[in-house]
Amino acid sequence: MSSQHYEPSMVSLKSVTKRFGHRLAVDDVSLEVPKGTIFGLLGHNGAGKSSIIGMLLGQVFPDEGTLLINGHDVFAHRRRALARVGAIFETPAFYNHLSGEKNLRLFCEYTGRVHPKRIAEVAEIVGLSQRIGDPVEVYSHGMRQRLALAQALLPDPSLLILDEPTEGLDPEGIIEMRGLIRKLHSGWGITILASSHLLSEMEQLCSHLAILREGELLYSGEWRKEISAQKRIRLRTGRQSDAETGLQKAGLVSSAGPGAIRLTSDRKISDVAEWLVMAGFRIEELAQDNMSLEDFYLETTRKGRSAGVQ
Amino acid sequence: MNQPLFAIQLRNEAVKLFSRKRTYLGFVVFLVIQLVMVWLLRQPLPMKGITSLLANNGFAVEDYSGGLTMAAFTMVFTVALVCGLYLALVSGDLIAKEIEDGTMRLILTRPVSRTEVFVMKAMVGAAHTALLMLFVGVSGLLVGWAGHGGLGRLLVYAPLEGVFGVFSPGEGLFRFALATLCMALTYQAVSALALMFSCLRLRPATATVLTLSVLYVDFVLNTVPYLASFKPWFLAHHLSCWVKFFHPEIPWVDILSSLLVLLGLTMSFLLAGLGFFTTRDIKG
Repeated sequence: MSSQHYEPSMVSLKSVTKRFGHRLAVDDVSLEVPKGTIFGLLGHNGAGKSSIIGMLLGQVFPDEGTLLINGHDVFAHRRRALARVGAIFETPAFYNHLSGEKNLRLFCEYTGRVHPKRIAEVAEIVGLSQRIGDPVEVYSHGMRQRLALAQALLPDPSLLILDEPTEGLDPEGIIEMRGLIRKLHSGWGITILASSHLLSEMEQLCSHLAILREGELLYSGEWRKEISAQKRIRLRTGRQSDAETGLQKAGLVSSAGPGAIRLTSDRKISDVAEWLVMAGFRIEELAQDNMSLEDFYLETTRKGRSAGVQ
Repeated sequence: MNQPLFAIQLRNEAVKLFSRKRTYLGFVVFLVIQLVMVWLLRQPLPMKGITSLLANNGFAVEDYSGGLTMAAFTMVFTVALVCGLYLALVSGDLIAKEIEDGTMRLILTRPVSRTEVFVMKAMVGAAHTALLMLFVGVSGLLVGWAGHGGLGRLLVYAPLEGVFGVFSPGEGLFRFALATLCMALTYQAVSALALMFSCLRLRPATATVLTLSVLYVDFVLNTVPYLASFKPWFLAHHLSCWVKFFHPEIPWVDILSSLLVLLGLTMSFLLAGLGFFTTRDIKG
């Protein structure tokens, strides 16, 4: 893990494997979620994100491997591991005929009495104060998702697990949910582990990412650092292929190709510019190429496991 | 107010169960059955049959036309088939419905063990069973009393169990109370069976249908005369042990042995259910 400034891991997966029948849902995944981060599990539907979340909450049993939350084994010491964990799922499920407040009580009083003041507090945080007494059957999807978040916040969590938190929300709801997640992370210092197949959501929210494909972990780490470390440049000259070959021979770029020219580690973009001018190339465009998460995801999934799990 | 955690969990589980309309379906249906029975039994044709049955045995119909006979009559002819349906409907839902709806996943995000969740479910299921069976007895008595203007003596005729008994109002009420309490105990086995199926990877409706299939097949086999020697192996035989309280001489040994068999079955169903529930994956 390249995050020396983060505290020790909030979540650890060690060689976790899970099969459903013949289908390999999670294949020997080892993963660390540092404390204080917003960590995204990114992958297509069926990549293994929900299985990992299910195992973390002790709802799905792994075939092999260990899962720790805050240093406690989820299966051996469930109470300690989940003591300060809140979670929400893609489709918020409640007892529809009961009020939002009653639902919060029913879900949270498995571990002790919940004070009405605390319920009022979390209802306020998620913006449901005015409607908390209404039956859940009259709630919109967005309101149900906010109620789910309130439920997750009641035990004062240090880790919030969000399985596809923006799925099914309208654009306004997505923006609200994103704002709430950010507020909880920055204001309350909650570590957040969110899964999604939506690249734009992960790009806007997450400092760390794990990319999964068909149960395999392809990448895990601080994706922005990874991108900037790649030092990609965008170059357009009159004689493109000659320029790329020359730059490679001169040791200024490590790889070249359409849209993927990378500087060697000790070189700067100004070195490239200087070499091109000296070699008589007419520069039409030369700039640092900031890779998007979409590019990074596609490149990582294309390269497969060799992309490097940190 | 510092309530123990167990009491809070149990109360909340009861709130969940008893806030659902379908929980009361069995209560409503039995009330309707009892009202219909009271009305039907006052019609000339059924009255004629009852009158001749009593007259042939040297009894006057006026003495036995009351709440006790009415309630016992309803219980003998309806409980075996109708109660199973509503117990299976409620207990078959207890776990399977929560898993199907997704609420079980949310419950299990809390640091609570599956065993605790199961025990709570089993307890409220048992409470519902006991309440329904007691309701059948008490409401039958009240409806019969209101419909016939008093308790009267107790006449019980249960052809399947080979029981024919007549009792004074006091003795009858005592026997009726014992039978009702016994029924509340015996039918715990049905509730436990449905709860066990509810823990399998089945839809709630399938758990209910499976329970009913077991009950009805068992009931039919229990009535086949050629299989009389196998009766002790049938659930229906033991479930109906409460009827034996209407024998002129209460066969305590038979009743206790049936209760022990049912206790063993109930515990086995519960342990199997707990095993299924605590080892299965729960996914969205």
